[in-house]
This record gives sequence, C-alpha cells and structure tokens, in this order.
Amino acid sequence: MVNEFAAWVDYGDSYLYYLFEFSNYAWCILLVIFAHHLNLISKTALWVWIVVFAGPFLFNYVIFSPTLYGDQYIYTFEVVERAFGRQRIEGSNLIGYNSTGYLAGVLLSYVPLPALATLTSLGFANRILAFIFYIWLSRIEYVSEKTILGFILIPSFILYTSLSLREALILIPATVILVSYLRGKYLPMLIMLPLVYILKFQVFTFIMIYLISTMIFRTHKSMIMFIIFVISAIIGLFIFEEQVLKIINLYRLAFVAEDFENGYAGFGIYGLSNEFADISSTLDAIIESLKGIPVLLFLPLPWNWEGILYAIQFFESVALIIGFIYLVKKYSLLKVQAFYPLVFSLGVAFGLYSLLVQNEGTFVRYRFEVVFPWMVALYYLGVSSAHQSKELNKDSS
Amino acid sequence: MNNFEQSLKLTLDFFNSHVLTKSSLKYLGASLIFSLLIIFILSPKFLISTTLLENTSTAETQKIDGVGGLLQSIAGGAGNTNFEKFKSRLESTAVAKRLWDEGWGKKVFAPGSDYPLDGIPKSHSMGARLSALLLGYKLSDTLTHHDMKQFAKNSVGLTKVGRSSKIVATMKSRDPEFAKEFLDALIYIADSEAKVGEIVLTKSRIASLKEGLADSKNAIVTSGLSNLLNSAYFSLVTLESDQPYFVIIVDKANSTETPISPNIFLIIFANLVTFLSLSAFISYFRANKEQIW
Repeated sequence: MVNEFAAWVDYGDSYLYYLFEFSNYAWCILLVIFAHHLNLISKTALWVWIVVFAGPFLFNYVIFSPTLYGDQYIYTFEVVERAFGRQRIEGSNLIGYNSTGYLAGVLLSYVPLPALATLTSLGFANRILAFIFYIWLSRIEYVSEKTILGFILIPSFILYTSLSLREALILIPATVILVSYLRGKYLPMLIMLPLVYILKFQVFTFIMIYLISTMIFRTHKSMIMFIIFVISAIIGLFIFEEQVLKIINLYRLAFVAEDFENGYAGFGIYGLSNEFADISSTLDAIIESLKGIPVLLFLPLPWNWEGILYAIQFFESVALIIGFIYLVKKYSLLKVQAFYPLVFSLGVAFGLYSLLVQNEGTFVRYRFEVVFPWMVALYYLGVSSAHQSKELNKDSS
Repeated sequence: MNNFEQSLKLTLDFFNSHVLTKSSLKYLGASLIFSLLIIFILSPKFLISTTLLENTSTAETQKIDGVGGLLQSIAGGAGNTNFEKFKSRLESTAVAKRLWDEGWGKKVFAPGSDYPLDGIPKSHSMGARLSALLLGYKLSDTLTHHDMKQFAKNSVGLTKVGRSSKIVATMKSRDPEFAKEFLDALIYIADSEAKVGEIVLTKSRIASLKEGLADSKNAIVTSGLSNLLNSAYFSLVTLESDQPYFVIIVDKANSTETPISPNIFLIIFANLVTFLSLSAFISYFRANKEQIW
C-alpha cells in the first residue's frame, strides 16, 4: 500500500475522505471490468459488483458511526502499524498474544489498495476478498451463478464485508473449508483450517465436529453411524460435564460482563444481578439451549430494535429460515445422508450460542458466521446430490 | 491454446486496449491538474500534541488495607479512572464556558477582528435555517460557549496508550502557535474544572465520614473510617494546590516541523488511480457496449 511511504492521518473527518475512498472504489471497479474481460464473471455480475462495491460508502459515517463496530479501529491500526514496520501490540504473534488481531492485520495488509486513509478503507479490502471468493464459488461445478449472487447479496454479508472487520476472513475460509470438503478437494481445506482456528476458534470447533463425524464416524454414509455419533456426543457431554460446564459458564459470564455499560469496567462496578445463575448440569444446558434456539434464530427481536439495521437483520433472519426450508425441500435433502452431520454441526453451533446470547449485535454477527458457510455448503450439497441422482437415473435407464 | 495462455492473452489485450491507451494519457494529465487544484485549495495542517501521564498516585487511588480498603472500594467507584474524569471534563460545558470567559472565543472564531466577545456573528447552514423556520425556533445570531464546546470536542483528540498511564492529546491546525497555546490552556482548565467537582465531592465525603465516625460504636469500623477521613483530607489538600491533579504534564504542546496534512503524494496517487480506472471503464464500456448493456 502507498501508505508505507506516507505518514498515517485519519481523513475520516475531512472532504479528502471522499477523494481517497473514491480511488479505492475506482480501483475495485477496474478489477471488476478486468474480471469480466477474462470471462470470470457474467454481465449481470459485472453490474451487481459495480453496485455492491460501493457498500463501504453506505455504512461508516452514513448509517452509523464507526464506533458502533469498534473492532474496526483494531484491524485498521493493525494494518497501519504493519505499514510502518511496527506492531499495534508489542509481542503479538500467530500462536500467542493478540494472535487474532495480528493475523487479521497480516492478511488484510496483503490486499492491494491505493490508499488506507480512513477507517472505511479496509472495507474495500474486505470487498475485494469477497469478490475473489465470489469468482471462485460461482465457477465451481453444478452451482448456479444467480444463486451465488443471491448469497453475496444477503444484507449481513454486504454489511460485514463492507466494514473494516475480520468477518470476511472468517466467513470466506469457513465456506471454502466446507464446500471444498464436500467436493473432495482437500488442499484448500487444509490451507484455510489454520486461519479459522486463529481467527474464530468457535467456528473452527463447529467445523471440526462436522469433519470428525464424517471422517471418523462416516456419518455422511450411514444413518446408524450418525445415531451412534450423536449418542456418543451426548454421553461425552455427561462424562466431561464439569469441564464443559466450566467453559460454558465462564463464557456466559464474560458475555454478561461485556454487555454492561462500559463493558468489563461497568461489570466491575455493578456486578451480577440475582437473575443470573450458572448452568449446573448437562441436562439443564440442553433444556436451556433448546429454549434459546428459537430466540437466537430470530434475533434481533422486534422489541429490541434500535434502528433500521435491526429491522433489516430481523427480516433477513426470517428470509434465511425460509431459504433453509426451501433448500431442504427443493433438493430433497432429508433423503441425503450427508445432510444430517452438516445440520447437526450447525445445530451444535446454535445450541451453544443460545446459551451464551446476551447482546443482540454480537450474536447476530456470531450467528451469521455459521449460518452463511453452512447455508452455502447445504446449497452445494443439494445441487451436487441432485446432479448425482440424475446421473444415476440416466445410468439405470 | 491452453487456459493459462488464453488468460495471459486476454490480460495483455485488456491492458493494451483499455489501460495503456492514448486517452489514458489525457486522463492522467487531467488527474494531475485536478490533484494540483486540490492541493492549492487545501491549507497545510500541523499536528500539535502534548504528552500527559494519568496521575494514578493521588490519595484517593491509594489502597487502604482492611475494612478501610473495603469501605474505600465501595465508596470510590473503581470504574472511574482519573483519565475518564479528565476526558469528561475536557468535553464539558463548564470548561468551554471558562475558555470563553478567558477570551478564547475571539482567538478561535474571530482572530484579529474588532467584534466584542459576545458579538461574534454566527453563520448557519441552509439546513439549520430551514429547520428553524419549519419548527419555529430562533437561531442564535452570535457565537457562544456552546460553539466553543463543539470546537474543543471536534478538534482535540485524547487517547490513552494501551494499558499504560500515558495520555496523548492531539490537535490539527493551520496555525501551530495558536494551537499549542490553546491545547495547553484547555488541558490546564479541564484539570482545574475537574478539581472543582472533586473538591465538592471530597468535602461532602469528609462531612459524611465525620458523621459516620460520630455514630460508630465498633472499634474496627471507627479505625477504618478514620483512615478514610485522613485519606480524604490528604486528597483535599492536594486538590487545593495549584498543580494539575488528574494528569501530570510530561511534554507541553509542541508542533510537527512540517504539515502532516494534506499528503500531496497520496492525493496525486489516489487521483491517478481514480482517473486511470475511469478511463479504462469508459474505454471498456464503449468497446463492449452491446455485450454489457
């Protein structure tokens, strides 16, 4: 980036903001027409991307203040400090302290951008990553380009990949892992797994549940093995009850503390209310999560709305549930054995998050980090199994 | 021809037909003119900064052992650090009012003019005028300390460096001498205003502690309250001295030697990219009108 040779000044409060960010946008448009020239994208996609590349202009400073997603400062400064050959936090590295911020900074710093001049700039870097991801996804076998365009037009996908957050670095590798595994291409999966491990350990855990169930238990081939796996998992929960509940209760408390006004400092002053209680048994945890899943599915609920963004995300939740049911029905996924382990790992994610949910904004984000990759994977599973059925029918006739 | 060769051919074709063209040169020339125009319009801004240390050794933050410590932690409110108290004051109306009363309004909004302090005319945007007309309220014709508050809030940044006690206050200005003076004055006034509030609080705490001591019949509680009372009196003495209380000034306001904004190279480069992309887009659109429209 050119900033390597220039002192960092945040131009977010001046008219130069438009000049620098417009150059980032123009650069993105150049990439779009270049991709079209190489026949990597269609005419429709060309126009869609010209429009959606403008996403970063819409959110920060327009719909909301950049402080609403305060993490943006972390990743922007990670990249800025790297440009000057420094570290945002001394001693950061890939396997220890501040590994998440460090890796996000490293990855985003390699995305070519003309100017990193404001908090919005990395939004364009994320959009470029989303564009490359789109090209990859829309060119794999069986998928329809229009459906993939539909996925990348999901409002949350546009939102999180238009901000200077690390969400694109979680959503994209998680989707690549699941889809590559379903395609039987293991190299992209092996490359992306360490990234997800560092950037979002929870998502890595849910992916691993799916991979272990299919690789070791072969749950995608046999319903009996799937049932054995589920029963083993439940027995495992009871055997390691103390350890599992300790982790769940710790995270529950951490999310309660984070949700206080002034975060952990506020929690330090006011402490816990009498309503909060630790989960004391595995059975309690299962009952609580079953009660919590419907709430998590529809977050943010109308009585918690604090703006237009909340309303959009609520209707998006409803649309995604309808989309899920549509996928299951259209591709008769209930008849496809590989559907069950995939949905089970998604269910585990929802079950765990429903126990932790305290803050709507945070959990809408967390939910999308699993919903998007799993939905794309389910779609791929649907189209590929439909294709295989057709082939089988052809052979038999 | 394999895929790689075909992609290479298409890439070269794209650059030759749409990027490295004669019309691109015209756009590059236009971008240079546009950049120069912007650079001439903009005025250079210097970065003025001052380094402070959060005063963590004030009497109130000294830990007292035993029951006194417990009582102190309940009474003190551990969440409000001196940095937070200082920052809140810096952006307060009380500080803006003092700055205004000390004549900073004129230095900030009408330097070198003959206007009296309370007679500096205030201009309003069309939107503000329209709102006032529609909603039926009157807009102030002159600037007040509220404008000073907004100016201080918008132009001065206060950041704490990591978990250390180092605080950096920054300001961007065309006039470094004025900004240095303003930043120093703002910090001194914010600290002294914060002290005023703290003195009132400490005095009321002393009165309550005295009442508590008079009513106490338990020796351990009496001892704890006595320790707290001593600590509160010590705070009061420190607060009433002339020295800054919440922050320690390590380095008074100083300016960068050269302007930090605008960055002319960044402006030229950003415009080059914009104009080149625009040129490529127009050229590509013209050449492929039938296919992409």
